[in-house]
Amino acid sequence: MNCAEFERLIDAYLDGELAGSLRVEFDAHRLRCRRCQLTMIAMESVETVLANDRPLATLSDDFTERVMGVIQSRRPVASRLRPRRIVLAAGVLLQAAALMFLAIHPWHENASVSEFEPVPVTPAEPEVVRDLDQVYALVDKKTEERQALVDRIFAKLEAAGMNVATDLTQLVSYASALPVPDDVARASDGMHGANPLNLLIDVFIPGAAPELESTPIGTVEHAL
Amino acid sequence: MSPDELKRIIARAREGHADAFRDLVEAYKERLFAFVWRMVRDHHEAEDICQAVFVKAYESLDSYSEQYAFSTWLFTIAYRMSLNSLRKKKALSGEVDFARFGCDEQDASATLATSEEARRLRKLIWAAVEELSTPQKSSVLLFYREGKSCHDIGKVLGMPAVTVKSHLHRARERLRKALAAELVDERLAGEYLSGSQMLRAQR
Repeated sequence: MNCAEFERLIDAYLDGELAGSLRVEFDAHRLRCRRCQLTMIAMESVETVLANDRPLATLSDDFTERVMGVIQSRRPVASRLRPRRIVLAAGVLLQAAALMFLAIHPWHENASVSEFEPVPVTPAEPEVVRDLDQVYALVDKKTEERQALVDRIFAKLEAAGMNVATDLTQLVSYASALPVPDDVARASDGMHGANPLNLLIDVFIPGAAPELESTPIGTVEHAL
Repeated sequence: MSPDELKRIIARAREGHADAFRDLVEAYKERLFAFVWRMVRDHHEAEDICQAVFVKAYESLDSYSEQYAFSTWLFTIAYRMSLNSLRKKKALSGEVDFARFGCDEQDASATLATSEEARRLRKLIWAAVEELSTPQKSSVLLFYREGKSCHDIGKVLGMPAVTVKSHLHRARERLRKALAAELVDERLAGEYLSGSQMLRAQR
């Protein structure tokens, strides 16, 4: 082992990582090389001085008391602030809850309650119940709207039906007033029950046909 | 302080027992101060940093994981605070006032040889350490003084263990070069060899 190799291994030696045959080689060189011996002495001196030399300055005698004083002085501050913070947080939460309550249950504008009257504080209803009420209200509203629509449809249909009945009545009157030859009238007089026009009238306007029946065809004035 | 005792004290400190934390301060304040003082080289600054480190440690005790040694956790906080202080004051290692090294250190290092040569070598070593970069200096101090592994030093410095090894290697190289000229005097080397062996035997 030469000096360069020795110097490369100094770190491993100082770290206690040099072992086996390499350690023997290292020691052998150290014994016979004065230069490397001095290098090792220097490094071991560094270790000795760094490990054992006390600093020039020393801590003040009251250092521990000062540290504990700082710690103690900080603790009461923290403990004093903690309840204050809790109260502040609770206040903020209460205000937020009150705002939410007012937003969910707005006061009626025409409420007869005087503003000077104390407002009864009622606990906020659970969210689920409030939602169901809204659903029920919505269903009721939709049902009413649907009923109104149905009523309107029926009214339209009724009005349309009346118009048809009126038109049919006028048609029947017109048809009855048509001048027909006597033989045709007599021949058809017996067929009154099978008159398709009467059947049609019965279908559309129940009860209208009997009124027509009361009018004897034979007596109809056959004139335009 | 045994590991079990330390664990018990930390548990009590976590529960808010001030006396338990006082024990921790007492146990670690000197080591912490030595490290911080070597970093910032200002007595008052080092004390302030140490105080801030302990206060921070007390407030963050819940975040301490027993996966690492308590000292490693403390040194991690101390290193970051020291770095912040150095950055603020720009008191980098190159601006060290070497006049501070001198007769004061004689009294502080009673365990070492007290000859003129010994004082000269110690002064030289510390001057060379001051010339190291902050990560190199921290690595060397934590490795030699605190006996930390490269893995733990990496945790303190916030870098991989391989990088710490590299810092240690470069630091040793620079220290070796700084001392090379001095150690041509065989008498000095011999004196320090005996001094080192004596200290190692004491440890």
